[in-house]
Amino acid sequence: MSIGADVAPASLAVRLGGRARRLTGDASLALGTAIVGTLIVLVSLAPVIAPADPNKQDILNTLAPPGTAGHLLGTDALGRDVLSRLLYGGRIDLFVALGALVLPFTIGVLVGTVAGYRGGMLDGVLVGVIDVVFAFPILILLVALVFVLGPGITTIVVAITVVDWVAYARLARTLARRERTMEYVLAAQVGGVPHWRIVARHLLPNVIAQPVVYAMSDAVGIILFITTLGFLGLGVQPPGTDWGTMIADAQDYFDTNWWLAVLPGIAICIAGLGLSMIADGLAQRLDAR
Amino acid sequence: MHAEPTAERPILTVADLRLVAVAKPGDAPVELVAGTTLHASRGEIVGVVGESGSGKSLTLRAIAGLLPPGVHLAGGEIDVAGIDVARAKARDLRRLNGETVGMVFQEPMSALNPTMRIGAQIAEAARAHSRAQAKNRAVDLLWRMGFKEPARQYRLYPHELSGGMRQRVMIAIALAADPPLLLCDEPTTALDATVTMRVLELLGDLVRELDIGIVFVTHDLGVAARLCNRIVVMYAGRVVEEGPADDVLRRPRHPYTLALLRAVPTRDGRVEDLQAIPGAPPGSGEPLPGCPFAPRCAFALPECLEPVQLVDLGDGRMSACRRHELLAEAARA
Repeated sequence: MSIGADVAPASLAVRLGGRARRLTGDASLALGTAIVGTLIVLVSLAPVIAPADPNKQDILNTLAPPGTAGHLLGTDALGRDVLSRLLYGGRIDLFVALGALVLPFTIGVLVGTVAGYRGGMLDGVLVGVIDVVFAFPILILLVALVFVLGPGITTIVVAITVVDWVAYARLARTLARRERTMEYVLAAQVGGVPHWRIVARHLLPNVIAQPVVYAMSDAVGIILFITTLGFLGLGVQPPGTDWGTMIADAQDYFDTNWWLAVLPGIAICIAGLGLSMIADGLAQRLDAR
Repeated sequence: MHAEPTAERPILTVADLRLVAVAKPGDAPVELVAGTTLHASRGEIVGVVGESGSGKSLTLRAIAGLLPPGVHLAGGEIDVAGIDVARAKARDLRRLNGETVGMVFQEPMSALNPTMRIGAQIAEAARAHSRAQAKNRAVDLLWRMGFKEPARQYRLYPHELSGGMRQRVMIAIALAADPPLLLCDEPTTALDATVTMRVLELLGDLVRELDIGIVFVTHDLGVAARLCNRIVVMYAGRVVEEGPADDVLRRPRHPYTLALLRAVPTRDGRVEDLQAIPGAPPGSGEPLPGCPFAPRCAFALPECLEPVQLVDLGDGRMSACRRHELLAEAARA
């Protein structure tokens, strides 16, 4: 009986600590979702809310500073409206990021879970492939792939998928290996449940949480990759635009018209911040569970 | 609770089972189970008792065709309801599993999928039935396991249940495909005493009503005494004694069983009377030419280092001790 009395205050403190952490986690999840949600709504509505065609040149009003009448965030060297370009550019960045997130996530989690469950040869080969891909500096591999495949949106998604799925595969494999020794998996095996069903109904639901959290922080990295490729001229090709190409175009005017580079930079930061907050909130919520 | 088996209707025969572990290819195999013999009939509960590492759980897993990676069958026969488990292909075995054996594990939390409703987990195991029938079967089983509102409780998740309830769900899953043999791997070790009692009662009822056989692995002699018809005592991967539960526990014919009994607290006994067994069990892979218990045995003779056999003593009793007669006399005196 005395044991229970000794333990109670400690566990109470632990529980309070957990609750406090869960609250900050929930707040960060809510704020992150709000930021990312707002961004997605804004770029989705770009054709409706953008004040001008992003490629329309207002020759009389080039390099106008933010606040100019008709051009809320100013214009670039060709007199194109910066706000409109930010909205249309974000559209490409966010939607390409979505594709470049969903593909590697799906492939990596599936392959990793199956390999972790099956073990043996398949697993050995996967570990080898993962190590080889990880051994390369990712950006260099990415740039090389884009050169081979030719620039463009499809290339970005394919190239990112090729280098990024291994991260999910490694995570899912480790989790599946832990999970497959759990007795409920053994119980399903004794019960003669088919392997595919064990993977689909028993392993995947118990493996998926951590890859989802990772995907949120990975999304930040992917947006950076896409904008980096755009900056290097390997991403979105003109007349299309994204935040990365906007920064690249602004290089020559950085000392005179700094907002041309800083505004898309801020947009990237906001998107990254929102996604990071979602990742943080999800991680803490899963931890608390 | 001791339902006498009405007739010998064998459901499980394990003969001279040998299991070895190979750490990595090329290593010498380490013998983990060295010639275990075990049988069970319908309507019978066989208790397998022994310390950790005695090979009792591994034997059970071999019967279910669930050996952990790195452990192999090196010899012997396993026959479950006429199916040669030792030689069956893994694929065939999986098809037969569930309908031949059900298994209940020690830790009811990790033995249930935390992300699936308990009813769905039972229904999944009742796969011989159609979808709608499987659901009805799951509700029936929940009711049978003592859930009072099975239609509602079907939708609960494992974390919403107590340990005893989880163990009942586990038993329902194991029985969903109507196997004639139920394997229990320390199913009550994680439960408290009152809950243990009720799970044991349930198992006793199930044996009678469903006419199944149960092999019940435990290290708890009290649980074995309460539940089992027959007891098999294992030590260092070998069977050292076997017989009707009451006989074995009242009049052990192997010094290891006697030593185990002396290490169990009793209601009237004093703490000072408890005796620990000197020494430690042999590690796996140590060569054991003679009786494996000889180095720790109070009755050991020089010839105990020679190989010993499990001998039939009559009345359904077997012992692997040269000096079983001495123990019988001591019990009579």
